[in-house]
Amino acid sequence: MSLSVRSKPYIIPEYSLTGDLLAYLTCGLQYRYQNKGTLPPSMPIQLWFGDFIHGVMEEAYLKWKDEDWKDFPWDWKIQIREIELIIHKRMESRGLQPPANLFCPFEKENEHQGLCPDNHHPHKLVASIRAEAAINTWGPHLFPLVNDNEVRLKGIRDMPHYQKGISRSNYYGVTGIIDVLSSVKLEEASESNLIIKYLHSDPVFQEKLEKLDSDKYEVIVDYKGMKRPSLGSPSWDHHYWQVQTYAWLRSLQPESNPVLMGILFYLNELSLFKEDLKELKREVKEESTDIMPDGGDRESILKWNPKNRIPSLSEPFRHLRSIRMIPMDDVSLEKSLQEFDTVVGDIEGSIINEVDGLVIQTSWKTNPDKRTCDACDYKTFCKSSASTKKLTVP
Amino acid sequence: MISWETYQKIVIKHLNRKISQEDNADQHQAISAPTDQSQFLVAGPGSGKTTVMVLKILKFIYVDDVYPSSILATTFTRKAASELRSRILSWGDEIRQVLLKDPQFSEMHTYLRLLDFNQIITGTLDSISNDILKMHRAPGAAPPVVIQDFVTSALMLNVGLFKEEKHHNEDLRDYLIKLRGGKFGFNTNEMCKQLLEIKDRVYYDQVEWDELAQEKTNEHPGFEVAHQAINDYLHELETRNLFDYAMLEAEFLDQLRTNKLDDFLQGLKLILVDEYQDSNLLQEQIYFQLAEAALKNGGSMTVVGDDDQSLYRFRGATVDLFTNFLERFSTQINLEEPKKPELIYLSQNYRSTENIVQFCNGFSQLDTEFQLARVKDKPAIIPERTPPFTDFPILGMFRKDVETLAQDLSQFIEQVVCKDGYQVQDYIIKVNPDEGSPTDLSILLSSPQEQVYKNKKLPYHLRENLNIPIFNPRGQSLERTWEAKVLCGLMLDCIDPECEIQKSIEKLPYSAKKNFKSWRLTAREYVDTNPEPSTPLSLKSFIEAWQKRQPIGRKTWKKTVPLLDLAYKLVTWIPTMQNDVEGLVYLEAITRTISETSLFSNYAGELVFDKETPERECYSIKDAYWNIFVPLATGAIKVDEGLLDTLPDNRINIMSIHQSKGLEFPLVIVDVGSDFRTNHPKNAFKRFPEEGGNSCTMEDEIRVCSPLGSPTRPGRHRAFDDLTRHYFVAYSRAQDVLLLVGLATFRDIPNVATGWTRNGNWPWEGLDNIIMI
Repeated sequence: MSLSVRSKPYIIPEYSLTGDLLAYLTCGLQYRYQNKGTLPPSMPIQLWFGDFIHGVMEEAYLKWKDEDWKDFPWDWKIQIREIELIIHKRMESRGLQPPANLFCPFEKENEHQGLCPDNHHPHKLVASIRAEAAINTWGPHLFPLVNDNEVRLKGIRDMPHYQKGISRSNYYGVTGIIDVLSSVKLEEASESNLIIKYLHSDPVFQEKLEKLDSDKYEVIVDYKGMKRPSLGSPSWDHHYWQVQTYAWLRSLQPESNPVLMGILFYLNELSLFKEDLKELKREVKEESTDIMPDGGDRESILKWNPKNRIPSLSEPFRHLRSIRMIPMDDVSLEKSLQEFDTVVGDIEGSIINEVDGLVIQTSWKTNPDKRTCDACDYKTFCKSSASTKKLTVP
Repeated sequence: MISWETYQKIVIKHLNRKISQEDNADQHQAISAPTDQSQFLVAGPGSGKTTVMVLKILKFIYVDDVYPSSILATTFTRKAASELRSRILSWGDEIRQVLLKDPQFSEMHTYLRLLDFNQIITGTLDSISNDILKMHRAPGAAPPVVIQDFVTSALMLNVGLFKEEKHHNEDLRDYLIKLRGGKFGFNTNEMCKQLLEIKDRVYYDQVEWDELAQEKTNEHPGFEVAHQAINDYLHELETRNLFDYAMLEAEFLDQLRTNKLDDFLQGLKLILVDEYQDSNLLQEQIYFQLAEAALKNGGSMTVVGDDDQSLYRFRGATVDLFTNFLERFSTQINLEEPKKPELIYLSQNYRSTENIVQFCNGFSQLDTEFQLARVKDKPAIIPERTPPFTDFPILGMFRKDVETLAQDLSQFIEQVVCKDGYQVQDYIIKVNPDEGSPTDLSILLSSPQEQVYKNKKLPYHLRENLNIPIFNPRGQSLERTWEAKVLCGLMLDCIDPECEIQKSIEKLPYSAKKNFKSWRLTAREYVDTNPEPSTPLSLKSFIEAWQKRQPIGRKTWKKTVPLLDLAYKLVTWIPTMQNDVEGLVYLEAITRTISETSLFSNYAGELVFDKETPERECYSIKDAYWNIFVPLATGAIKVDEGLLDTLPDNRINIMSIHQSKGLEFPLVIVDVGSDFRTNHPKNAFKRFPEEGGNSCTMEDEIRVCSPLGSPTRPGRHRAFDDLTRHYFVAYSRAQDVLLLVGLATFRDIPNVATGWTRNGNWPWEGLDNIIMI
């Protein structure tokens, strides 16, 4: 009789909505290297700023709640800088260094110059400008509505295309973190609250509210360290799925109430990068964005060229572009979960390819999109890179 | 809720686990206990302890109506934690599905649908401490930020050793050499490791640090330097509000003791601790704090472990905390007459054949002195493996030298894995023709290192001889792998082509300089092979352009260049780092070092080329030397084995006995002495110790000022106990076949692994109890 066969450890693989689903949809091979293989990006602008702004908003809320910082606007030098440094230290210990043109990590004038233009620290660079705008714009409206923050979500689903002996497990785990959970009763909130105003004016939300059996419901809030995506773009859809899936995960928690709405804050809209404005200009021309400028804003955007300074856009326009309401519905939820299943099925398939001996580049799908590839660290050796940026020195 | 009988029925029928009183009285007793019954489960190898833990937890939920979030279960490794968690989620859901399909439980359906097994707190003690401290922090308090192990090494190097050049301090060197018991292999990285070990033990054994300093300074001037280096390290972490893992656990204990986590403790009802035999005092105190709360809430504490499998004395584990658990529970838990834990022996072994079980039993009972270190009255393991299986004899392969051993062992393995099998007596040893693979075999050694200086070890020869690829992630240090040498050498040649900056740095560690030289050499040899691609740029042109700071494909040289960007571009010419799982893991370790060790740097892994302040180029490169290349070259950076989970199944596993803990393999090959050509005192600590060795010396050194006091068992006895446990773990990994390998000189060399006892007797003389092949 032959030897027995070694039993494999039983481990249910876990997938996070943002870390896995959205990353894989950008590019499978990039996901393999960067997320699964944990290769750090050389220019971690998006990664760094996303983490930074999440941390700053969370810490700002805690200051508001626990230390009674109730009066807005907050002063950057006295209040916001303190929060920024706390977050910077936390991120630094995880190896996330701020890109030099985004954030000044130094405090005192006599500190090392590092990558700063001079020794007159601290410099209020773009990440700080945005942090200040985010806190002072949305803090007064959002913080009073917060019921819970950093809510961890977990659930399990059946493994797509499960095959005994081949699949790694019969289930897979889904994880996510809700930045803010609000369950405030609308009538209790202040009338001047901008978020309540937007919710009130949303007919879908009103309709859902009327249909509700009890007066208890929840709103999910997620911060995005990016500009508002154009209509129908992959990110536009992915964010929609993300919020639907969060609502499903939340419904699995015993203490939850029905989630009626998701609110996304696209915080770059409060102070755009050049690259962001380039895109916005294109979207305005093509009419591919849902919040279009009018009057002076439209003129400033269309007249702007990348050699010029970024024009200042009106406050109502920036506010409107930085908030996105997503109503929950069962059909979209089902579709979102199916999308998640498909992505997990693809990832698991690629992993099985690797275990079966295929080399990494053959095992994973790529998504050759010029913008993604231009910013990708692996473009010089990826066989399907769409980047036209050749190998350069340096 | 359902009754115990219903639960038991579902488990037996649907999960196929025989937990009835008749089939397995011990498991039955362990699983069916009421919520307030604490338990001390002494679980032999292969006795199904994970099954027991999972079914106990699910019983608490389904039968006793315990809320999932009031259960906390810890394991020793992250991998074991994911296995435990996965099993809870899967079996929990399977039971739920059975109940949902059965109309007699229709009243429970709403409850069942809302039952969330994810709320059970599972993980290693580190991860759980981190989560709880984060979630239950005081208003306004920052969450703890924990640095990873490799950052601790880099920090100790930078802040502890390089500051004031303590790595060259003679007193410190002398003290550390004495502590480790010899000069062999002593270098800067070793110094760093030892300082971290002292620091960890101070936390683990709850030592009064300053009191210890006072006592030891008078004994050796080197201690004062060590004390200062460790204080500098701790101070740096405190200034940055950072924690390493030992500090994190200490903080957790402190907050538990000072009632800062009462919110969390209020809801806690059941504590389950796996691998308790490898706990240290700090961890024990945490568990007792948690247990106290659980007991107050009407719950209990269950610890699971096996003293015979305690392997981590060198990391501060104190096995006596396990063997004396019953007594310590009653004296350390601060409650009036807490209900006494029930002692249950899980002795039935479902893993191995009868021959293997008897061999392990015989081995653990050979040495009468060892019996004094074991749990009192511990029964032998009982073979209960379900047929069909072949009861192969225990085998031995001993050859005149390591080269011949490797050749013959390779032939044996190939026969078993790829050919018609290997015949011994009437038995044919062969992997399963349909589903078998090389991963059914494992080669276990004290150390899986392939080469120590010029001395080539068994794993090296096996790699050379075997036609099947091997998987030995700890066999070679990162800095000596071909991929790391090439990539690091190319980076150095780009940024500092003539070594001018390197030469301008005083007091670089010798081992770093040596490796820089070797890296550059390997890299240059590789450049000379003109590797592909040659368009749009060859590797040679790329390097030359960098060396001359001559831009290609852009008009000017950039003002700042991330070193990571240079690394990724160079990977263009290193295909194994793009396509091979092992190569990618090496790349990950290097790039992680670039991004994370820049924690201590002013340049954050960036190179600065500023014409107005040209000296900044030199500063930024020096910064990269100290913070990136020195930690890499001195061996402070290890690969993350967790990233190797997609390695193909076509490789033979070579691993240390420590790594094999908790695992099982159909065929296990244990190296009991391929290193021992003579009865030389230098290798005695690995087979027949003359004294305690470095783990025991460290224990004796530090525990003077610990509440545990100095160990009562002499160092030599502890060293023998540890060796016995070591090989007991190795032998009990085998399911079907156990093969001992070594040199033919084994007859003349006293060795615990071959059955010698510490009084110099050899009850297994000549190893006549096994079949030689």
